[in-house]
Amino acid sequence: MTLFAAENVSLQYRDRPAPVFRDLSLTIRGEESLRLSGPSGTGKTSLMRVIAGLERPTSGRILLRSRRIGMAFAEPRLLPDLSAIENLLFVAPRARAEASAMLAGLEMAGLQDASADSLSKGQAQRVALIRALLIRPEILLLDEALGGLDMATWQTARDLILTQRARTGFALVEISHDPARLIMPEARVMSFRPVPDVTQL
Amino acid sequence: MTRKLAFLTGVAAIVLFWSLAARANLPAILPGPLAVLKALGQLLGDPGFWSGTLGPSLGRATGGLALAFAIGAPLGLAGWRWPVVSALLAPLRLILMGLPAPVLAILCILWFDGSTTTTILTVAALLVPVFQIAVAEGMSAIEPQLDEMARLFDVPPIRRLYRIILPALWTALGPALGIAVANAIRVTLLTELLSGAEGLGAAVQRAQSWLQTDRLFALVLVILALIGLAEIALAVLIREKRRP
Repeated sequence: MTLFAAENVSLQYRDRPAPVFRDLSLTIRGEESLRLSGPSGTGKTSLMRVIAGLERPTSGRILLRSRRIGMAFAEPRLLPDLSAIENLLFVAPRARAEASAMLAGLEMAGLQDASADSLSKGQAQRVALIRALLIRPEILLLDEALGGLDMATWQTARDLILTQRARTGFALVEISHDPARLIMPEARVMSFRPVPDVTQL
Repeated sequence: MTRKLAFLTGVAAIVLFWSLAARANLPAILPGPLAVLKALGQLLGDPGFWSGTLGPSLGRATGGLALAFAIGAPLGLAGWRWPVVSALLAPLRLILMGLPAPVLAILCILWFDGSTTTTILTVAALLVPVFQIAVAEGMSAIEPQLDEMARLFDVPPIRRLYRIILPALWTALGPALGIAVANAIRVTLLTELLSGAEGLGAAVQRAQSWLQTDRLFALVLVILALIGLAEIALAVLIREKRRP
């Protein structure tokens, strides 16, 4: 099942002399894994934002976009005045039991009532990951979302993602600069170069 | 505790100084604290004071405040959304903010009939810019990353409003309300004083004309208490809003 399809899309920000990417065509199917790879500033996050519907391409067509897209941003984006569990219920108010279970699964059972602004970066990133999983996404976008975790916690987070994926079969798109920390090392790779071209491999 | 004690000591020092100064003057010039307290008791015990003096003044202040918000908030929103609107309104805002309150009150009395409407319009005219600026600043304080996250997760507008927009808006609107409430009471009194419309302002003017200085002081205490209570209520509200 196709979850996202774009044809010849280009994106250029208003204050930039050149497009971030140009004439890019992309299809994402159910249960597929895709890794966006390349140096910083080459358009990986911008493409992810286009997939998420947060950015409108300057040209080309989005043929299809899933309605349920979960994204864990590079920064956790938690509501600072709310607790960890309240942040999760903010996007999925009826999923309290599941939210608590996932928090416990990521060793945060004791922190579910802690306010978001008291959490460390790694803890906040785990909450943000659960938030993206909690909506039962059809596509999960991970934009360097687990960079603040130590190896053991990262592995626990990866296991949670893989367990959820086995259950619901979402497509996964990830950006990670650390080759040792890839959720799906065998994923299809889309490489970005510093020039405004994009090459699909 | 130390701050409370210091505050009470400050109050005691004023009362002491006032008592000593009152002994050296005629009661018509400076009545003592006890005489003022007695006048205050009489004032508060008179049902006519509540219904014929305090009620109308509070009604006008509230009316002016509500009208100012009803006009200022949409203008602030429009100015935030379309900067050209803000630029268009800037000259009028500068005039209203620069104009001394007594001058505006006199002009409103000249143009209108000096009644309740005049007072409400004067209060509103002076406070519209306060709400306009506060709403525009509050909207600018919305964290774009959080708003974007809420859009991505398809959070319903009501929940976004309650959890993202209103808390940001409140950072500017809360302090502005504090200023606006105190000024609404002050401007209401001023306009009543100048126009003679029945209310606290007119009561102050009558007490001064008839040399009822103890009553005048009692009225001042009522006014101070009103402003103080409004500020305390707002401070509590702001504290509650900050609590998750």
